[in-house]
Amino acid sequence: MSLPLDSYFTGGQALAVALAIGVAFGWALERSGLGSARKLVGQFYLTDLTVFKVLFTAIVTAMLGTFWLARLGLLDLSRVYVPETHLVPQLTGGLVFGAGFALAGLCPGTSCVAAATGRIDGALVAIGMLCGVLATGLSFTSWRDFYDSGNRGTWTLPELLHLPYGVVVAGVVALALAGFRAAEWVERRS
Amino acid sequence: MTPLSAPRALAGVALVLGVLAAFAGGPGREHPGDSTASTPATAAAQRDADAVTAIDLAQWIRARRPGLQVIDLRAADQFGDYHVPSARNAPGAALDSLRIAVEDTIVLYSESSDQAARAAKLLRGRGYPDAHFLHGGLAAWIEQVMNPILADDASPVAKAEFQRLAELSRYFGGVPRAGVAAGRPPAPATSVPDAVVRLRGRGC
Repeated sequence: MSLPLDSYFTGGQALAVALAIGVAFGWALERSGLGSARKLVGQFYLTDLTVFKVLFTAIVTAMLGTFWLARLGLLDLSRVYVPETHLVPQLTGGLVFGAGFALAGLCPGTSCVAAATGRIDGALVAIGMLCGVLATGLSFTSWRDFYDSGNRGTWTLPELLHLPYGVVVAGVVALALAGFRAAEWVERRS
Repeated sequence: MTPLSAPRALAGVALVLGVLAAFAGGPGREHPGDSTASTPATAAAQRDADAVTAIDLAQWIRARRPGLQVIDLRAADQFGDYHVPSARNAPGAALDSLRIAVEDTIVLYSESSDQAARAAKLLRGRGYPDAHFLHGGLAAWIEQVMNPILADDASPVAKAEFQRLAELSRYFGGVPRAGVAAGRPPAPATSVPDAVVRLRGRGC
């Protein structure tokens, strides 16, 4: 029987938990050094792969956590929302995000971290991000058809690769560990 | 012997858990209470083996049933306005353009049952044994999944069932309503544009 989290936390309590998780996330990003634009831009120039190592570590931790909690019956995985895949729109959004990240040296989350630690560039990027969100919302009706196009439904790696979930989990872990080794080799060479 | 560093120890733990996952199979277990709800619509659908209820479809989508293909037969602009989550569009039952495996579970729907029922029969005739249609069409999805209603004189069994349906409804961004006065016609069902607005509130 899965943990009855929705009976422990209701309404405002759930929001408070979300706030606590958000603060912890920001703290972890800052302690990892990801509040610094120099460190973030190093990812694109392959001189400092901290972003890759921190985020891939988070992915592997969350993946193993949810897999094993579900396997042990403590988490009902069917209650975890997975967004639908819209292939071309999301690829386009990723490219736009990447270009902005490289230009600004910060992404939306790390801009908030940087702003919170008193960095002016972080504050300006966060303001720019909000302006972008506003412009997107105001112009949405004109490109909504593109936004909705290419719907592949809820598409997960096990479905794409026709492999059992556990095998995909093992593969991602192996990929991550190999990636971390490769990242250290690249950093030593740069 | 040098002590193991924390990163290496954590890498070792991740490796062990990953290898064990490969032999553990899937992460989920069958959801208790995933059995088909007992409603008149369900009984009617069960008499027609080609039909599935909106509740069943919602449970299949949430459970990420392997090989599930949900196909919307309406026009592209109607599909763009609103569609069942994870559905793909095949306007006018133009199914040939879609990649569907013979072993897939296919659920077709339109505004009502008729067009989808005919398309499901056609697919079964073409050798797709697991082709179904959504009983009641998109209207049934909006009514039963997005806007389930509980009358205020409902029995304890019905109330317990409604709790389960309400959880399912919220997963899809629906608005379950309880305490509707018995004998009073329920408020008009949420329109398709309203359902779209609620769905757009999800995600990050």
